[in-house]
Amino acid sequence: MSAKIKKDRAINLALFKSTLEEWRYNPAFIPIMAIGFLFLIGYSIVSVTFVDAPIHEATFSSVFWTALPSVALLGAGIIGKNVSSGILSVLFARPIRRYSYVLTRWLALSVASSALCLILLAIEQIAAMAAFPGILPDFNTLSQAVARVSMCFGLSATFVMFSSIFPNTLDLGIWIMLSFSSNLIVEISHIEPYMISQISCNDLNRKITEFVVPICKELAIPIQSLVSPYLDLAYLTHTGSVSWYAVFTYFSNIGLCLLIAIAIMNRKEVSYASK
Amino acid sequence: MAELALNPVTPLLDGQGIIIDSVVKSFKPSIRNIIRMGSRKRVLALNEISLKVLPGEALGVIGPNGAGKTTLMGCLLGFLRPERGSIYIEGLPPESLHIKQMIGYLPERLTFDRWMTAVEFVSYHHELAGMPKETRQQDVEELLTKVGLDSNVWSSQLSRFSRGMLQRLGLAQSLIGKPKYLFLDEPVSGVDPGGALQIRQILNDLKKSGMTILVNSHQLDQVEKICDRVVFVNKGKVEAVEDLLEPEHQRRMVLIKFDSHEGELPGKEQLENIARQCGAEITSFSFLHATVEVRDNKALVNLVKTLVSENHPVLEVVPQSGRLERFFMEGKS
Repeated sequence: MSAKIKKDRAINLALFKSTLEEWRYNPAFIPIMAIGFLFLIGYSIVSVTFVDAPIHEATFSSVFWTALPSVALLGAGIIGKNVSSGILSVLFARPIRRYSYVLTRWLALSVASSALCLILLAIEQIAAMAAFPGILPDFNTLSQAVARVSMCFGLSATFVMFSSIFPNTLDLGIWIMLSFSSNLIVEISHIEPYMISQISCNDLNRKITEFVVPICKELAIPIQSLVSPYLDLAYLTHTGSVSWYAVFTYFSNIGLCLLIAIAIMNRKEVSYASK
Repeated sequence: MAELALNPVTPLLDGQGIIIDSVVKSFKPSIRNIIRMGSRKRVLALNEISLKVLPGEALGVIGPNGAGKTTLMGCLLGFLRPERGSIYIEGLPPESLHIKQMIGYLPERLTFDRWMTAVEFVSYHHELAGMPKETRQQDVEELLTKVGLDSNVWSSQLSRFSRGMLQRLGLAQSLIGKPKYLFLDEPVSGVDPGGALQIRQILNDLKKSGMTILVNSHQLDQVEKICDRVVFVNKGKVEAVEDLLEPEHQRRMVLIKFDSHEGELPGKEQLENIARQCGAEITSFSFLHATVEVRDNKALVNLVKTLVSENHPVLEVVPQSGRLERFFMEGKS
């Protein structure tokens, strides 16, 4: 047999290909994906044809509800399942850095979920062009594409982080809980001062609300951008120049999630003797 | 049983082989144990364990369940971090990528990407090991043939494989790139007798080629036939070492069978006298066979010689227990 070649790369191509193949061959994946995809296509076609303008602006909820199903379906347990099943002990006996494993799994999840989101967007665009003759892809289409892809990469990083901490597919449950909490915080942050007197009739409640609302206002955006980071092209360029702060926040959130995942994986003991 | 001199381990001069020096490893108690036992004390898995594995040696690790064998292997592969002590393979820590390129590992509880076929699985690990693409197909076919996996199932999904077939496949992946060090955790577990023989033959060939092999196993007969040296691990410590290349100097039981058609069968008293003179003792006797406890090899040789010279028809002499079985039982007691 031939001599070995020493490799030490951040992304492991063999692992990347195997991650994509793993989804392709999962017997549950194709039916669930087909049902989910058909639902989203139906929703999109109805939406662009009967309800609204051809392609929506890239609002948080429009982007979120297309990116989340793809990432959640592919990414639940992206690392946790491997840890629980014991596959990692055979994998880490190979010359692979643990950070390379984390980054490769993240990239594979991001690429696969982005591809699904972009296919969905293309179908929406075709439906819009059929419903509104003469309509061509515009800034909104580009904005949606950037937002969906960026959210896929962002959500994937969040899932990878949670998956490195929690066993099996518990990461999905934790993410849903955190996402629900962040949405609640966002809703509370929308309460204006003049509304507080209408909501609370006694002094104590009013004082608590007055105390909580400003905190929620401060926390809303950081938490939401950590749980579901994405790039809104319209917001980034609305002043005429690029908002580098928002770009930096997005990338730093992804970086933070991945760094946490790498740190946890570096400390993880993968032998079943530890169980 | 040879006593182990637990001297401080001195580094091997040429940096070859494996050195395990005073390694301590403990685990947090599981929630179930905390509830059941009410104790939050950490569970000590390895207790100041020291060992040297020489290059080209086949070392067996035996011991009761929970003795620390798998923990030791986990530390050797860099999966577990010892709290104290050090492990060096070829002078480098086991986490080193350079070392990972030199090792092969077959875990006890195999978990595979079950959607893959046998060829895809070995090819995947061939690629992960950094082996060249040009030789992939040839290497994979060679390995699958070597472990005796029927070529009809090479393209079948692993989800359809039996335990024994998966074990053969696991061995094939562990041999990718002819590793210098091979770590095997229960290599013949679930394999049929023919497969076990074949795996033993492969391991003996690998040993002859100079590969250093470390085997964890409860199958003492297999370990005895593969290994040069065996360590008995109990409660996280090496309690005894048995050098299988040295002749055995131990009391043991043998069964002597006679052939009634070929000569004069000895009577009980006659046999007892002969045995006593040779340093042995008859523990049971029947018409065609006797169980004898012999003091050592010399006593056994004398006994057989005397019986043959007195024209008693000795058909065969069968050890009542394997060498490692006796070693294990003594270690446990």
